[in-house]
Amino acid sequence: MDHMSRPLARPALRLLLIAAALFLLTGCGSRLATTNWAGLSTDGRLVYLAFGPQVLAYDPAAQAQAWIHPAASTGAAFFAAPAAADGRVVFGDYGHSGGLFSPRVTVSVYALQEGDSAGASQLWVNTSDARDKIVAPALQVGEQVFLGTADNHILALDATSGRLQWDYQTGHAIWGQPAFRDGTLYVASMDHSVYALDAATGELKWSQALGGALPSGPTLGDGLLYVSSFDGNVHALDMATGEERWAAPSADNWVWGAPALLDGTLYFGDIGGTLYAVDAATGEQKWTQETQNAIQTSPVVSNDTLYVASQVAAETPTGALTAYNVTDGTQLWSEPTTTPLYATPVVVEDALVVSTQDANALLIGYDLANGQELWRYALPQTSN
Amino acid sequence: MWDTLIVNPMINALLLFYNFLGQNFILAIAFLTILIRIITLPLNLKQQRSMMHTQELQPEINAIQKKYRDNPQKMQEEFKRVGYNPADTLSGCIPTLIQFPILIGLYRAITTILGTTPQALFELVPRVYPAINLTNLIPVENKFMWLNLSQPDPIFVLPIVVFVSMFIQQKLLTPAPPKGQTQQDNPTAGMSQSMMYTMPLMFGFFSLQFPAGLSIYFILANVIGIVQGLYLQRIMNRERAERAARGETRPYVVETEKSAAKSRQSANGAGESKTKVTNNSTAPRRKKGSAKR
Repeated sequence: MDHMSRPLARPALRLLLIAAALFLLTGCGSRLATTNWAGLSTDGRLVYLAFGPQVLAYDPAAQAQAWIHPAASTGAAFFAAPAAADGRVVFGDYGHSGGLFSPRVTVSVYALQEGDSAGASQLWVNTSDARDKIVAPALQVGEQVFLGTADNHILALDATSGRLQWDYQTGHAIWGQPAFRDGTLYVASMDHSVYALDAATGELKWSQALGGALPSGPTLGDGLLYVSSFDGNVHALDMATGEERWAAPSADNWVWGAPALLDGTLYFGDIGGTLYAVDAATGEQKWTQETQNAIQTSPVVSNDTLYVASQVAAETPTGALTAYNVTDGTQLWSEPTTTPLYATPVVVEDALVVSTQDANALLIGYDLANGQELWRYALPQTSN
Repeated sequence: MWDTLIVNPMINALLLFYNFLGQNFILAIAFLTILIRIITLPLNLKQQRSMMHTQELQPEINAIQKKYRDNPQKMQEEFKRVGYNPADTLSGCIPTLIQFPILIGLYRAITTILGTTPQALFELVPRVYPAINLTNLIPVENKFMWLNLSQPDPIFVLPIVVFVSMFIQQKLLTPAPPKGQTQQDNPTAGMSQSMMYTMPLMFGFFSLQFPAGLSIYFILANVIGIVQGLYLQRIMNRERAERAARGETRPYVVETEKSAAKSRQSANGAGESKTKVTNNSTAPRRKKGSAKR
């Protein structure tokens, strides 16, 4: 060894190690947690998926992609489930920075107009009113668009122009889709509170603080709204006053997904793997089912069957789509998936559609009756 | 393994401090930073002192290397005699090596806790120890003044403070090379001088990309490093003064090109090389332990 190199070794080695560490750091994620599970939704005909670099519409009847937006990745990330109504599709993004030397993040809300033929054209883009990533699915009501942002705001936009009508600030991020009835917008926030706002003006009608963060949007029932909470409960609130009527089932684990409501019964699961059916009016428990899987999604009810997408804990976690009888919770069938199922499935005609984080099976359609796989859709080559 | 040993303990420590410190995440980061610096203090002091000491001895080291280029055994003996152990070069890197898992672990911990996405939060749950009631802590407050701790600082204040604080720290740890000495005379000092600029630039640049929470850690760690550096400087100055008071001289007298030229002028001197080495064999032998303080 050349002894001249020895005194040089320490600073050089140090610099090298620091460079390696920083390389590793950036390799761990150039931005804070830009990844999330895909946002999945449907208008009853097409399936919409925000899967990261792009948003696409898939036609299960034709088993073909209807459109994809943007045509090529722009650096923005999309994970909020698109909201489709009257041929207009609205969604927000996770934002993108201006480049290496610009830490300022621009978050945008997009509206696309679907044409009669395949494809969708951009109606408007709002880049000025959201300041942190958009996790929550938007809600379209008439000529208004409502959506929550991670910078604690609920925004009301003009659906035809994208112009801001009003915004209301809550105490923390909003991850769930707002709900609307009779001129009132109901918003669940991670700040533990539910807000009822005048949809026309954004004026607060009431707010109710609950025992834990509220990760999903409210489910509206007959005079009551139901909201899932990290305190292990679903809370039932009076829609007119916000007064709490009941909270159940006091589980030890977080209740994440919004409850599904069918014929006076609420169905929901907790991340410990217990599935619950409770009376929507009283909160009284009807049945429970231990699934052994973490349930973070909302159950889907169709034809007296309850469908639950879940995560199967393992060294490499996988997923499962399981069907239960709504009457007593008995399991009807279960189909494994190669990756965890984080997004709530959607029903399109006779198929139950799930999204996975597997590029070879971005969407999978299952037969509602028996769980048989009907089709699968791989990530478009251009998006790889 | 990595998560179990490094990332998860940091996540739980941050959540614990967050809980006890009024649910203020900045304070939680500050407390964890101080704790980490206290734990790594002995190693850091050793590294910094070793670095300062090697810099101080650099003229002797260069002179010995030059003089005994063809006699490695003698070179080692002379290194030992002046109190320089080349093996310290590698052992001195241990604190730096320890910093990396801490840095990467903290980065992962901050990004996981402040993930602000559902999946990040979902992945946080199994990492939290049962003794911590996560339900009461979620959502972790990520706003502080103009900052969103989970995003880079949009108005560049933190990257600038990271740069400035790291520059001051580096400057304290990097003694200026003796007057008239060039980078060729002392390549190590040259590299240290360049690191004094590149390191702050690198970290400042990365602060443009990293969450503000991590920049806060950089700044606090730098401030503690500055205090450490000032303390060490004081100690070393005192030691130097004590040696001078005892009449100890350095065993090798090194003349740079400028001073050699002066010598040549005054004594019509000899020596073609840039560095003239005089072996003062009568100089008192430096204790071996002096290299280790």
